[in-house]
Amino acid sequence: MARFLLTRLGLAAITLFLLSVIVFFGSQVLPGNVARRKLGPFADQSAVDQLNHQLGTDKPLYEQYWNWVSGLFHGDLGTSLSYNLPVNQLIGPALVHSLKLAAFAFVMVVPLAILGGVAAALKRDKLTDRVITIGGLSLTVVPEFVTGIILILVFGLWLDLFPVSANAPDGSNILTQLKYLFLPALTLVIVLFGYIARITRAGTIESLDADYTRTAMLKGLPRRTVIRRHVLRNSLLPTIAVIATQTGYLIGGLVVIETLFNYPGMGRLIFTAAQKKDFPLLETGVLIVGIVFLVATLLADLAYSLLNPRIRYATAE
Amino acid sequence: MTTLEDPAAPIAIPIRPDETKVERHERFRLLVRSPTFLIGCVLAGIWILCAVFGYLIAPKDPEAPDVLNKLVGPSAEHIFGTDRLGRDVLSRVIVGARSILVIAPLATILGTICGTAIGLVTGYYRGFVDEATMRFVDAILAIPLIITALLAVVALGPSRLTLILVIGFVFTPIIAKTVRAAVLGEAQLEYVQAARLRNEHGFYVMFAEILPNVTGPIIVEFTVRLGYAIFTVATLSFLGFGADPSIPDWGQDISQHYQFINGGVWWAVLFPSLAIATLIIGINLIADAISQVFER
Amino acid sequence: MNDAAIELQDLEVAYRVRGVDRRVLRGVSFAIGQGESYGLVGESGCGKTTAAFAIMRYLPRNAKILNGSIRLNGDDMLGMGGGSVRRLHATTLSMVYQNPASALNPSIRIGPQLTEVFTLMGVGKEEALHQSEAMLHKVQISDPKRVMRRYPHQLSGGMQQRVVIAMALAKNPTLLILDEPTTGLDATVEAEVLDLIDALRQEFGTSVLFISHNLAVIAKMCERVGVLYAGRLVEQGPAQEVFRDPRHPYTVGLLRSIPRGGVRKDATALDTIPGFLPRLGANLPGCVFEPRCGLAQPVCREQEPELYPVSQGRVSRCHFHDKAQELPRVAPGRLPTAQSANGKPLLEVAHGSKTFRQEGQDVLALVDVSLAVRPGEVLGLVGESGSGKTTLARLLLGLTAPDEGSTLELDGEPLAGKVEQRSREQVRSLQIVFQNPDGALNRRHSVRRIIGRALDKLLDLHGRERDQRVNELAESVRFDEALLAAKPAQLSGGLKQRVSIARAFAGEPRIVLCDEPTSALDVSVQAAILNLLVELQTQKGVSYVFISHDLGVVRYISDRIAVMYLGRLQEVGDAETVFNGPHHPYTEALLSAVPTLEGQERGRIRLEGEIPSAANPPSGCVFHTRCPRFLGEICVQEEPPLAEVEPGHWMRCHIPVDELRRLQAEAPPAAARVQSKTTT
Repeated sequence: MARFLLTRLGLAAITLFLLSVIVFFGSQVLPGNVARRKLGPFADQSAVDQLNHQLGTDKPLYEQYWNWVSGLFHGDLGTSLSYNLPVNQLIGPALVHSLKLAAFAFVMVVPLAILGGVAAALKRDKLTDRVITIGGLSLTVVPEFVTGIILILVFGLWLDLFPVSANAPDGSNILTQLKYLFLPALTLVIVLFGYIARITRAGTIESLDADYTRTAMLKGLPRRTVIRRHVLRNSLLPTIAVIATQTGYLIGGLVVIETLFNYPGMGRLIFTAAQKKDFPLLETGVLIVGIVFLVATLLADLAYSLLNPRIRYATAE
Repeated sequence: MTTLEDPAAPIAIPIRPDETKVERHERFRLLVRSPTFLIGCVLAGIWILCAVFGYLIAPKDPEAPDVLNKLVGPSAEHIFGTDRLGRDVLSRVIVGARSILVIAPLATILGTICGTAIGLVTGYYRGFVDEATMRFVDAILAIPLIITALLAVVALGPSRLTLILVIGFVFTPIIAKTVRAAVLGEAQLEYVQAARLRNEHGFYVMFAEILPNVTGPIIVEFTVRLGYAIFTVATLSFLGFGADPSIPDWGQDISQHYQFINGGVWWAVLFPSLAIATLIIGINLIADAISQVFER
Repeated sequence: MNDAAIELQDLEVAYRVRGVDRRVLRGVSFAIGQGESYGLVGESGCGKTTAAFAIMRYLPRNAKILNGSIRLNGDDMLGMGGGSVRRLHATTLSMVYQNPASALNPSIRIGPQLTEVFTLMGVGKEEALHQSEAMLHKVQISDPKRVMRRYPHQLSGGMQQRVVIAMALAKNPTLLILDEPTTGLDATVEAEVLDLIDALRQEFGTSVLFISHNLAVIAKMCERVGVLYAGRLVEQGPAQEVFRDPRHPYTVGLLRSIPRGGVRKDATALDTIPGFLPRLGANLPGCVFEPRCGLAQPVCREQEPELYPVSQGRVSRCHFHDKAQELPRVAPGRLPTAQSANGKPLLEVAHGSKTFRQEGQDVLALVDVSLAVRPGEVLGLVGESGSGKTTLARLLLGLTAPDEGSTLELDGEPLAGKVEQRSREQVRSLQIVFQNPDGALNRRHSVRRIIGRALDKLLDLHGRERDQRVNELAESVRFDEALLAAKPAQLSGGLKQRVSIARAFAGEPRIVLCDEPTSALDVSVQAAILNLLVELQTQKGVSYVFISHDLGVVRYISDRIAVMYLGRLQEVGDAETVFNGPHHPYTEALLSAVPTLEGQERGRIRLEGEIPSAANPPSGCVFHTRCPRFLGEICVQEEPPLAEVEPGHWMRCHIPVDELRRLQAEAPPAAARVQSKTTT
């Protein structure tokens, strides 16, 4: 068991290291000469060299990488070029905003999608199933900005039920805040529903078809009991683990949704950084997103293993 | 030669119909009968026609501005209304299919080829290279696809080629993972060991022995990825990182008119949105039908 | 029959496949009396399992009962609603099927899984716990409390099947259906489980429907037997009588194709049943067996025979049941066999060891195996799962590299551990026929390509020359040239295995390893393949290393036999010496575990417990934990050497061979670790 934990942690650490290397190369090496980019094509070569020296971008790559990473460890995330503020001052509040939005969406979508997935599995190949799977699939695959725009048009403008901007006036109570967050959250819900429902359905069907379910049925247990005690126990556990790994998917959607609803979260911050070619902000933002994803996956993985008796008690007697 | 009587001799029908052919035939029949597949084909088909014949079908010149008729709502003259420069929205929606339907399939093909090659090598050889590649893949997959693409497009500068390369590159690890899983299963089978027992070269084993047996998952993955490629292209161009500002493009048109919706100008945004939605749903219905048929 | 526990009348079941109903049961009728045990035998696809699930009213969704009735204690079952069927499952009907590992819920402890059977009957929680413990005691689980806290994966296969049996018997059912309950278990474990079932059946007075492809198991377990072929019951009667004096050509053919009673290749060839099973749902207006029957007359094609009474309680569905025994042989009476040359060993492995690293543990799959294969001999390799026989085969082939210190020699020349480092000559010399023909043949390649590619790579044959050789090889394995363009999926299991054999012989090998080459095949096909292997060996003068868990098959084909246990050789000797004894105690137990068709009980030695893990083998002699002839401390402390006890007979045991001979001539040991049962 301890071995298992250590292996997982070790693998996550390696992945994290590679992630930082990829992000570093993506934002510092690929774009080429940093000072030239900043100063423009007509700047004097000596000014470019000087700025490069000042920024440390004339040093060997590994040294630049080392400086960046050690900075990260000391909480020095660099300075944003476009905001002229330390990056950590920007990222902190943005992260909180994003988490709020994501949590609201998750609270709505997870029970709904699991219910939908189980219902589809139990009514396999019947109309209910087709409606849930095909409907869910169609909603899931449409880009967030398309879903968001249609929601804004329908609920925001035509029906005038919800505010179009996600930002509640300062000092509003939680209910008002939720009201403002509803449309962006609903966009996420729509995008995630089909995906989670589909995974739940697959897991439940696998469990329904398993020999042990047949054994339980042939014991003479009522179907409801069989499903509750034997089927769902085996199908929901992996589903929940998979849902947790969907945070990456969710964060990707946040870039678009936050931009669309003008909501000051991580997604919009990264987008703005990309637009303004603010590389220090961009690379740190992307790295943080990657870390959030890795941690979520790791936790889900560990939780799943801890709950799974086959791993908890790995060896037979 | 002292012989046994051929135990098979007296029987006329030892052979079954070619199961692979029957299977292929059967799959095709199931596909054609599936309503999901048909609806998907109709939806995607319409847009493919638009992409090919767009400029011939379009009722107006999609790029001709008309300063006197800016942001006019749907009417008999302009069924979908006009945009901020007075261009006909319907024509732009029709012609806009081309940009996305060129980039997305090419990017998917690129990703599928690279992903298949990597999946075959890592799944067959296993060992250190496999471990290292998979860690690398995990690291790439830790960043949401759209952000990786964003990062790369920003770093390299937007262009059609960049989009194809970037999306192809981002899909490679995902497809590699799928193919690798399929190859791992195949590599356990004894026909692979039989190949080793006649000194077969690794390349032959991977490409002539294993590859034909993993085409099913690859086809399924390809169609699913194609949907995501369209998704990604549309999103990037909505975010302003599209291929070329001068070419009519749905995502770009949406982002340019999004600011007007509070003023009630819904048509310039809604119709391209519906175009994206129907195309993607069409492709995904096809993908779903194909995976159903392959996985039964 | 009013006192029947279960009675099937004209049961017809069809599966809907690709929009067409295909009949799998064609009017099956039989009845099982109260407390009787009835066996249903037949080859794959004959409808045995469908019959079982029809009785359970738990057929797959695409199945349909077209006709007939099922009566349980006289009540019509087919007219029952879902609620009544559920009540029957809870009180009167039980079923145990193959693969106990998947039959138990992996995420629930054994305790709750068992007690829910009792609580369903209205027993209180406390009482249910008590009764569950008692039930586990009955299936000879010595520490029920501990087992109930375990998850299924923490138990061995044998233990899992005991738990499943306990669950099935907990409700004291009227009818217990056992569908291949011991298939997949090791011989020594199977023997124990079968004994247990037998004892419990008598104790509970339960009627049993026992389904198996293994005739010997049915003969041991059942009072009456029904033989099923292509969805029809072709013969029925008291088990011993049917097997001794079969009255349907199919039963006759089936029995002739089983190597039994110590028959050897040089004495008699096995007979085979020509042709192939009819396809699922094929239209057969006359007798279902007519296309394959050597006695068939025109009437057989036109007229479906009824179930003719043959004698008291016996019926046969054959127009010529009185002549069934005169069924002409298909195979010749004797096969020419080669005498294995004693001479320089062809292939030699010395101190062959293989350690796998698994989850941080060293698994000793093979420990210090030294063995030689002589030119022209068949060396049988016997052992249960985990014995290392397949690892040894892979090691010889170079598919698995041995540990340091192991040496391989071919013709006295050193042989590299990895096939990639061997010369083409060496690679050609060693080939294999795999167990599972489906996995062994690339399903995307044609037969011609599969065989041709081997010629191409191993003999450098190309073009016309190669095609010519492919045709010759096909002919030598009796594979119709017209089928060379076919893909493996178009071929039956037997034909696929012929292709596999042709490929193995393509490079003109000197040693062919046969890894359970017939265990995926039906008995009648197995016989044809065994005959073919014997014939090819004689013609080409190759040696075989023949791996099998089926002692009858090994005895039939082998000249010498090596017995393995936990990665170690325990006994090596001439086939007849090993079988006739004196045996190593493990060999002795193995022989006694296997049920025989003759029904005669050897001295019954039952090994207790499970095969230990190769990751953590016992000290001293690895067999000491289960040995029926356990001596004492020395067995625990010291591993005996593999010593030559008689000329050409090697054994790894502390007991002197003469002592073994004396002990084994006596009645089986009556020590606590051994159950003895006198034959009745």
